[in-house]
This record gives sequence, C-alpha cells and structure tokens, in this order.
Amino acid sequence: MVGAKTARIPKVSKWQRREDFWGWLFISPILIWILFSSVIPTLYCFLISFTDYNMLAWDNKITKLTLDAYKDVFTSEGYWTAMYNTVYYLIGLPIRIFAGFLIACGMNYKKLRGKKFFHIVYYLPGVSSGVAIAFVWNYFFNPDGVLNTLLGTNIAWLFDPDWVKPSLIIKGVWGGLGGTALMYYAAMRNINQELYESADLDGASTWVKMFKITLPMLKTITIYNVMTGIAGGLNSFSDNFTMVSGNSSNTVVYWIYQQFLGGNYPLVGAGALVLSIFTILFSVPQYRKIVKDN
Amino acid sequence: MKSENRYRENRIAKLKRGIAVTSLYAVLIAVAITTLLPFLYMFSVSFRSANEMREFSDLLYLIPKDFSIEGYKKLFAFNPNQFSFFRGVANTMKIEIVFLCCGLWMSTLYGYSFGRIKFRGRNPMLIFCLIQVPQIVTIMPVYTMFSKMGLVGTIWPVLMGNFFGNMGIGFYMERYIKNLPDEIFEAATVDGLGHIGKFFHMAIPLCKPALVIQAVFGFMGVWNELLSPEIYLTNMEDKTLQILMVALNNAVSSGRLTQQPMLMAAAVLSSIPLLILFFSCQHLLIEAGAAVAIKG
Repeated sequence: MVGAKTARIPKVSKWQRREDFWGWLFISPILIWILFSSVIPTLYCFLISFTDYNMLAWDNKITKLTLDAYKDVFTSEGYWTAMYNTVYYLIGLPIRIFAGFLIACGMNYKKLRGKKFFHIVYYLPGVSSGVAIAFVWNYFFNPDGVLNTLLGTNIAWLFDPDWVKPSLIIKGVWGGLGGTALMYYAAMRNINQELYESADLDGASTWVKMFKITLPMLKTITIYNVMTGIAGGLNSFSDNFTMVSGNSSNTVVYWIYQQFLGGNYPLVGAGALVLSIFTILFSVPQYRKIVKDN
Repeated sequence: MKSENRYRENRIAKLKRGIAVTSLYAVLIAVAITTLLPFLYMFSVSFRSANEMREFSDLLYLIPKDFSIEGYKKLFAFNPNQFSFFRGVANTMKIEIVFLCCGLWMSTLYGYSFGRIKFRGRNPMLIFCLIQVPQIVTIMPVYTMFSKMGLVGTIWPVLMGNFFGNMGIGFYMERYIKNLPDEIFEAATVDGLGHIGKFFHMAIPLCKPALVIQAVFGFMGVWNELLSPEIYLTNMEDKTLQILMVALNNAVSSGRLTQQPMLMAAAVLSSIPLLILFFSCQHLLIEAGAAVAIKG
C-alpha cells in the first residue's frame, strides 16, 4: 500500500524544486509582459469584437452585443481587397527562395574568388535603414525616375493600381534575396562533406548528389523560410506606410491600422483575430519542430 | 591517336568548365550590382543639386555632374518643427540604450532558463512564449491600456517593450546555450555555482558571439521600428528618426525630382550608423549569423 502511494505521488527532489524556483523566477518578467501585452489584449480584442463600441463616437459606450463587426469585416470590400493583396504579395516568396537557392549553389563553388565581397554585398539590404531603402525605391519608381528611364517605359509604378503590387514585390525580392541566399549557403556548408565523398566513391553524378543529398538536407531551412516568409507577409505593414498612398495596395495589417485610426474598435478586433488565426496556423509546424527538438 | 583523342576531350571539358565558371561569375556579379545600385543612387543623388535634377532628363549616370551638398544643407535647414536629424537620432538612441542595457540581457536570461534550467513546465512555457500574436492584434487594446494610464504621448510605452526583451532573441539564445557543451556547466555545478553564477560566469562569456549578433540585429530592429513609435510618440519632441523621415517624405511633395537630393541626404545619413555597425562586426555576422540561423 505504502509503495503504491509513493508511486502515485512521487517525491519531488530538492534539486528539482530549486530548478523550478530559478526557472520560473527567471522567466517571470517575460511571462508578465506577455500577459499584459499579448494575452489580455487578445482576449480584449476578442470580447470587444462582439460589441458596438466606437472610440470616436460622441457617446463611446457599449450598448449591445452583436456580430456586426464580423459581418462588416466579411462584407467589407476593403478587407477582402487587403486579403487578396496580402496573398498576392506572397508571389515574391517562391521567387526569392528559388533564386536565393540558386545563388547559394553558385557561391558554394569551392574556387570562387571574392567570396567575402559577395557576402558583404548580399548582406547589405538586410542591415540598412528601412525608410532610407523606401526613399531610394520611391526614386526608382518615380514616373520620371530611374526604372522608367532604364526600361524605356512610362509606368506610374506606385500610383497605378495594376503596377503597385508588382512594384512592391520587386522591392521585397530585392530586399530579401541576398539574405536568403546567404542562409542557404550557410546551410549547404553545414552539410556533412563525408556524404558527398561517399557518393563520389559510388560514382554518383552531380544531379544525383543534388537531389539525394543537398535538397533533402535543406528541407529544414526551406520550411523555415517559407513559414517566416508567409507569417512576415501576412503582417507586412511598412511598405504601405512609407511608400504608397492609395488603398489599392493595402495589406490586411494596414487596413486594420486604418480602422484603428478611425476608432472602429470592434472592426479592428474582428479583423485582427481573423488575421492572427492565419498567422498562428502558419507557425504551427515550427512549434511542432520545437517540441520535437526538446 | 588515343592520346590525341584524350587531349581533345580534355580541351572540351576545360572549355565547358570555363563557360560554366564565367557564367557563374556573371550571375553573381549581376546580382551584386543589382543589390548595390539602390545604395549607389542613394549616395549619388544626395550630392546632386535641385538644378541638376531639373535639367538632366537622363538620370542613369552615377557621378553627379556638379557635385553639391545643397541637399544636405536643405535637410539641416528644414523647419525643425517637422524634421530635425539630430533630435531624431537622440530619440532613437534613448530606445536603443534601453534595449542594449536591459532588453538584450533579459532575453539572454530567458534563453538561459529555457536552455539550461530543468524546471517543470518549461516546454509548454516555451511554446506559450513563442506564440507570437501579430502586433496589430494587440495594438488597439494595448493602446487603450496605455491611454488609460495616461502614457500615450510619452516615450514609456515604446521603452517598455524594449525593457522586457523578447522571445525572438530569447529563443535564439536558448538554441545557442543549449548547443554549448554540457560538461562546462556540469563542472560549474560541481564547483558549487548556482544558476545566477552560471548565468554570469559561464553563459554570458560563452555567448559573446551570439550576444554581439543579437545586439547588432536588435539595434537595427529598434532603429527601423515604425508601428509603435508612430502610434505612441505623438509629441514632436519624442519622434524617432525613422518616423521623422516618413513625416519629411509626406511634408515635401516627394514625387518631385527636385526634392530627391534632400530626401536622399536623409537616407544616407540615417543609413550611416547602421553601416558602420555592420562593417565593424561583419566577420561575426557573416560567419555566425547564418550558421546559427539554420539551427533555429
């Protein structure tokens, strides 16, 4: 009997208690911060999205519980345009990943000279002032600017509703390409060289090595790139904030931001929740990997 | 005959190789030039005069025809109620200091806890901390909260986010600390070091490269932050450099080419601190930055 009891309630060792104490003590600041900056706000968002609260109204009181906000979000043309645009911007993602991979393959060439130069140059867009980059692209996209002169076209890149999205994609691919390439390059360097040596002994061709060794070993980094790319794309805000004035290129985040400025809080809540569900869904594979690793 | 055949085969193989290598260089250099061009134009245009921008319809040349610092002069003479470079930098630096003195270390502490302390419930807690609700979801309630506390229009809401650090850095440090050899920490335990001791005497010195990387990238993140400074720093005196630059862009009719030298001057000046930072630790960033990114 006594044995069964102790088995059911295992005695916690002194060591374990000490670990618990320090662990929870050390992470308590971030837990408190997350509680106040994420958990409670998200709940608040959720609750207020079922009301008719209006921040800027003369009498900003909640008068009734309603699903109007969700109805408004799903019937609002602005929201669906923004959704469509957000998905449209994701076109840049496969381009960036594929081109980045190819460049990394090139950089992996053993006798390549000037590796350091390429490294530094490819790194640059990722380590610059964001607004400065936006200024330069504004200049490039100016109807009288560099790009039109160079291509001999006459396109109002950022003002034409048909061209504004491709323009932003061009800028996005430019900004992300080098970083993606370097990441792939580093991943390739991390592959165990013995794999290639034994493949060489078996007389495997370059293509076989590519498909049987390189690509499978790059799966993790590709998943990482796709997931962060999608989550980042869903939450992109700064291009609209710094470069574009019209509504035709709105992302969901920017649309929500506009509603926020307009004081329509239930709409913000509903729109934001729909967005966050998508974002979290796309992050699930990463969380699963973390659980597996631990 | 045989040797001649082999000679020819050899030559064809060499030629093929030569073509492949040349095209490889061509592609890599083309990408490098495309990457560099915006920076080169940024620099070049900032040294042109408004006159030059008006007169020459062909904009493709890179070296200014009459070198002028008119753009910089105009930038510094701009109405200080709308744009002031040095005030912008000072305001950004306030936030940077909080990040570098607190946020970075707090994040490392979280990383150490998750990576080295075997407390119960750490896995669910790690997942909980990593679920990132998009900032836009929380911005409205958090704004309401801060406005109830009377903090909107002060610098505190922006500082607070950087004071507590974040799990982006925390998770990176967790990976890094976890990958350090166990024996070192075991030896420290045998020597009687507690977790505080191990954090300060083992984790931090061993994490130096990772800390530098996160300090640099964190610095850049704070420098480029737009959403929360825009919302909370309503007071002209508090606005960060990037927010002031967006305001500058909106204040001048930025479509006009004659305004471009001034805007580019702002762009150049705002890039310089980041570029200095990048070039002073590029060896670390390039080697370790990419390598650890894969493990994450």
